[in-house]
Amino acid sequence: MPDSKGNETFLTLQKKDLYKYINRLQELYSLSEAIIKNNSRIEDVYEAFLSAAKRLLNANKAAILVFDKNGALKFESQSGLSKKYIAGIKHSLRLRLKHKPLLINNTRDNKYLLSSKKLLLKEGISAYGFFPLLGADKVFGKLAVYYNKPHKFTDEEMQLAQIISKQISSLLERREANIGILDALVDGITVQNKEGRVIFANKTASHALGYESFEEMLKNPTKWVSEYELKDKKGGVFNPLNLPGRRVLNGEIYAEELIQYRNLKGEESRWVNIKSQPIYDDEGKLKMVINIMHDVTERFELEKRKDEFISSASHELKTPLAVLKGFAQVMQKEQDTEKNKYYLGKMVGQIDRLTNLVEDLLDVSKIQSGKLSLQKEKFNIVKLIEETATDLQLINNHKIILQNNILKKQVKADKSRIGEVLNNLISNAIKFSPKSDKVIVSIKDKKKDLVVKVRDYGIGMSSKDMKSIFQPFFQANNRIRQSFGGLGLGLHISSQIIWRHGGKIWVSSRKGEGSTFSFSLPLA
Amino acid sequence: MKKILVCDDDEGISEVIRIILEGANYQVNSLNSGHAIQKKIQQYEPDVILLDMWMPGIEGKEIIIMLKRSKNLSHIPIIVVSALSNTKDISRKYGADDFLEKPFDTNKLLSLVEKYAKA
Repeated sequence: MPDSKGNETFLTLQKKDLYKYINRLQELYSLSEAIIKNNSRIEDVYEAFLSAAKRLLNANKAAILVFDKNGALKFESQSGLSKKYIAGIKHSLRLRLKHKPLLINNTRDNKYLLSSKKLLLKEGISAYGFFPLLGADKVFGKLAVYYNKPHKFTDEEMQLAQIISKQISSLLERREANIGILDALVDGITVQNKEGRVIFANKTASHALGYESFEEMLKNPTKWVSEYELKDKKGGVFNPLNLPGRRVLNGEIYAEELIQYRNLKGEESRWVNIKSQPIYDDEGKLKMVINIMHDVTERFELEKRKDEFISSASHELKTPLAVLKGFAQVMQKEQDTEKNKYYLGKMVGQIDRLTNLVEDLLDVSKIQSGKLSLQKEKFNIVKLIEETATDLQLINNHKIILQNNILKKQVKADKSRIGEVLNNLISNAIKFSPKSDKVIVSIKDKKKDLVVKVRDYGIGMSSKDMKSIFQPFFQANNRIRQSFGGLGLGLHISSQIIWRHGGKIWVSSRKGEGSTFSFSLPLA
Repeated sequence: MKKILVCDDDEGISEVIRIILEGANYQVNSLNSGHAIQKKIQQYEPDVILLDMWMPGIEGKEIIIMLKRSKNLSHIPIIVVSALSNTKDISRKYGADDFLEKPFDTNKLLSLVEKYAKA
């Protein structure tokens, strides 16, 4: 029969072991939690590793050491070591080749520790172990644990050390991969802390700001402020306080800016589109700002050249059109036969059509480059509508009916541009209602706005087409394009003109029953 | 007979304007550049000047400024005839009397010239 007291001791021991194991499991669990938590700082993760290593391996001090470019071990993070030791200790370069743990059970008695022995003893390190941090194809560094007393590593400690080392290695591997990816990006990326200091810049961003590397930027952070000249889209001086990153630091949730920058040393200037957005902590407070810089120099130059080309091309196209039209009209006057007069009239009509197409292309290029300028003046909108309707009535068979019940008639707008919109909407109404004989133009005032509606009884359109009708180059389908002609630019231009005036433009329509195009303008 | 000076580097434009205006009994002289325009205006004494904007050498806007500053010539009406889409703004900005966008309507050209030749 077993001794009852001995049995109890056995149980107590079992229980103690069990607690120990539970504690270890918990330790490892919290460690993995620290790694998984995406937004934790790398320093915090290292700290979690080091404190876990100390507790699980019963050590007094611990460190994560990483090989630098030259193969020397450098402290990445540490816990409990003195500054003197960190500065003074020289690790053997041979450690790089050692893929197995290096265990020193008793510093004092060890014969192979030469120069470092004194420093180790001074630091109170009586035993230590170096465990390799193995990546897929390289050794990143070592996990080091230090003991104040001589220490013999148990199998269990060896196993735990291996688990922790593996986790650190995979973290380092991931980080290296992340930075590798960031450095490989064509876009520049910088991260600012909440004080605005740049705490990370990838290779592209470092180069763009005039540094060889991010490390160099850290050493000399003012350079890019003092040595760069910033300009805005229109060539004016760009105030660095308006940089998107700065604006996000001041509370904006997103900022974007197109900036031209030039190194004052005389390098060529570049155009860069900067987008900035904040990163918040768990409590929703601003933690960091990420800036993404996309170089658009080539695209920008190309667009500028395109704009110049379109404006000179349209000038070049209009000059011969002017000559053609002039001669056609001279002939029209001198012709005796009605038949020839009719033909020449057709020619003049087609010249006008070509001219309108050229104008439309020019307008679209202006809209796209943001150069559509408005010359606002006060004028009587009803009078303009009447004039436009009268002009169009001369060359169309549809009856253009005006319905007007407004008292205030003054608007402050670009008269010729609004005339263009009216002309476009009424011409479209006529063009797309070949089987009908009338178009109704009504004018109403609605609070501070004036609303003009152009109603036709033509082919109408589906609700799907209504959504895209104001897009450039849109026409319902090829059949429409072939039977009605045009480039599909008129409504796009009209909508841009109305929007630029602070008005709205919209359409209501039903297929086969006709359409109503409406726009509003603020009354003067 | 009223005298009109057409200043345009495009021969087609000069010719068609000349034919249109001669058909309406005007006397027309053409210049294909702004070179020495001041001297030529003094010789020719036109009643109206039709001026293109884009020309090699002296540009239209410089000619307007120059003529409008000159004591003897500032009274001669200048009508800008241009294919630039901002013809209206440019002619206002530099002090031209009126403008006509290319391509123009024959009747519009005639009525404009008539208006300023009479005055």
